[in-house]
Amino acid sequence: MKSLNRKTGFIAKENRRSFYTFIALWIIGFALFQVIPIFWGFRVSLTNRMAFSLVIKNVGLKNYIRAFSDTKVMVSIAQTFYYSLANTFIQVVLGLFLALLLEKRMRGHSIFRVMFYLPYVIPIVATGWIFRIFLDKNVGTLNLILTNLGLIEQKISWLGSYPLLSVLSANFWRVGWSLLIFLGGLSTIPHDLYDSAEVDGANYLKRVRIITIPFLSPFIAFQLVISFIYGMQMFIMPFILNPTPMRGGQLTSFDPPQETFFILARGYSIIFNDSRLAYGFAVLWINFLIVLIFSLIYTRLIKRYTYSEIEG
Amino acid sequence: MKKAITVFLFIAMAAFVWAGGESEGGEGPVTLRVMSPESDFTDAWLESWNEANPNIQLVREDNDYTKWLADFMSGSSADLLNFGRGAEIPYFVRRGLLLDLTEYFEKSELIKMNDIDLGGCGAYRFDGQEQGKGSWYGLPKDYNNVTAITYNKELFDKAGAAYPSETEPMTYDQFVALARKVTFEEGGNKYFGTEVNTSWVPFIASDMAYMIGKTLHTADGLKMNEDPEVREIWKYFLRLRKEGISSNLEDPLSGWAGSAFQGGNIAMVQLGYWFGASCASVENYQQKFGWAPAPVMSKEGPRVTSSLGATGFVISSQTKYPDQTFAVFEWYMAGEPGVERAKTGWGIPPLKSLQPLLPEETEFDRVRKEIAMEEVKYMKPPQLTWYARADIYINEFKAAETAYLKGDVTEDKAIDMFYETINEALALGKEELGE
Repeated sequence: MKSLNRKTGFIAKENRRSFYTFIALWIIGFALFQVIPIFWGFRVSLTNRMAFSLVIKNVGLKNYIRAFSDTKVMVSIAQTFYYSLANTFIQVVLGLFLALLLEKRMRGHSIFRVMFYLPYVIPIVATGWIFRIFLDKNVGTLNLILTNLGLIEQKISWLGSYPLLSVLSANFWRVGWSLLIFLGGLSTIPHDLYDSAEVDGANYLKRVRIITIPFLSPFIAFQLVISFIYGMQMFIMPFILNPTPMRGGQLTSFDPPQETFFILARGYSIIFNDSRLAYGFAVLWINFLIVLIFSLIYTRLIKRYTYSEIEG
Repeated sequence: MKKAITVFLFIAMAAFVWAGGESEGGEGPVTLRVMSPESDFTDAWLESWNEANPNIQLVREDNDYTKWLADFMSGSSADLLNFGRGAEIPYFVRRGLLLDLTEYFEKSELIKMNDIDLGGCGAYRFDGQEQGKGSWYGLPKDYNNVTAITYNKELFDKAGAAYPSETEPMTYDQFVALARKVTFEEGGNKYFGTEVNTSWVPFIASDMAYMIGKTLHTADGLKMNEDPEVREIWKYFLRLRKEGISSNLEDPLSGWAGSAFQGGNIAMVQLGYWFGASCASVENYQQKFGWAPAPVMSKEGPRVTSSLGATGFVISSQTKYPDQTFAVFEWYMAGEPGVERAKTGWGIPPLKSLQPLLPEETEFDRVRKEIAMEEVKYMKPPQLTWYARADIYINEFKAAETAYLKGDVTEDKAIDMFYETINEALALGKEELGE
């Protein structure tokens, strides 16, 4: 018995060792390239450091206080927030709607499934460029279609007059991810529930309301959190859809218009264009805290309002 | 198995540590990093150098200032850097980022001090207080009179306007009047009279200020100049867009000023000598496009043209191999690449001995060269300070301009908005330098 215990203990120890050995590389990478820079950034945000400061001193929370009274930063936070909410709404509602359509197994549904998912596979930079050309006032396809249909007389400057809508429309095209999650969720719902409801006289909309939505609630909640976080991290698309014409060089050399100058881009511009390292890190930390707080609130709400087969 | 994994990890770790340490140096072969776009440091030149110099091998990385500055902060910047705006030499020198090349120039067999074109290369000198004087920190790969005008004869003919003179500069008032005349709409398409390249606003403003005997900043360089005449200069750019002589939010361009001009949407652009070489891709460009000198503020006043300080090359102060890097630098400026570049007509060579190689066989090339060589005489370094980078001026002016065009602020408020942010940036720059 004693020998058996010793053997079990040895195996457990070996398992533990293997476990830590296998995850060690990832943990080291995570610590080196994520955790340390993040906390280094926090430390810098408490100083007056610029890119090449000769005299660096601690200033406490001055940069954070300053950020909250900086109109430009506040506008960026508000715009990022609007964008994230709108993007979350589009991703969840449209993704769910398309998933419900595709679940019906109509003719050619697998082709549609691929078609809707395909844009998500295209890199975001390529999507941006496609939309830049699509929305261009002079040579863009959208104005061409609308003009030929007689819906508009004068071509519209989409990128210049509707920058936020332009970025949203480019991201709306990437609804494939959300669609895939919902299709996965729909496949977990037992079909006999629908059959029983149908026998009881429930129409399609009622079946969706009383069966599909509750069963899908954990997936919807997941999508809400993920889409919101992704929205708060939007960075490159506004630079690509910047109405200021680019000429070679760096994509990020011209700031986007105020409506799409989201908080990450603002932080980047403060750090790299204005050389204000400490202040830029403070702005980015504020964004991190906003995302963290909202994620925690969401997680709480998920626990309370979503369906789960696991007893909590 | 466990032993094998342990040995493997140990070897990998040792290799990692070894790779990160000193692997070259002394008299042995060295590898230098060149940060430059391929167009300015071609693969052919790179291979040619590497073949001829087995002890100094070059690797090129694409130009990215942000990356170079971040690399510098971490102590690993590229040795040789393509420097987009010579105007920013004081900013970089004051922060100790560039190697002083004066002694190398004095000893160089290829670059002779008396062969350097001081008019076009002045921005690469800085004595700690004034640009254009003191130590050398690099050289332009070539330079240009970037405010000279290229115009589209077809659009002038359509608008019934006379072509501008090739020798006599217009005043800016005449230039705007002419631009207004050649702005028109046809078949649902808008044709603009002129378009200022977004990145060049502070440089053109700088020339204008010089011409009226003013400065863009106060004497200590720490505040924007509130002089009404200087404020008028900045307003000039706002008005071009507001009036629709240039593109704006409702009527944007589909490309940058140069590509829109070549596409036939703009009647006049101020881009300078190099743009002639770029226009060669347009059918019948020699018949279609003409040249005029940069406008002046008044006929009686001085002429001033800008080269933005010109795009050139500088050497990082962090380089471990300054001698080898300078060897590449002098070969690039005066050797095979310098000669080849001069013959293409993409810019005026920094060395006077190479300038006769510029193309002038056609009337088009002859005129643009004559204008350029005349305007070199009036070249001055742009009026930036070492407290803030040019990008801040460009982006903050764009933000103020957008607010103005959207009707959110008045013309004066837009200038106030611009000044306020620049003043703040200048104050922070002062703090950064510990002055």
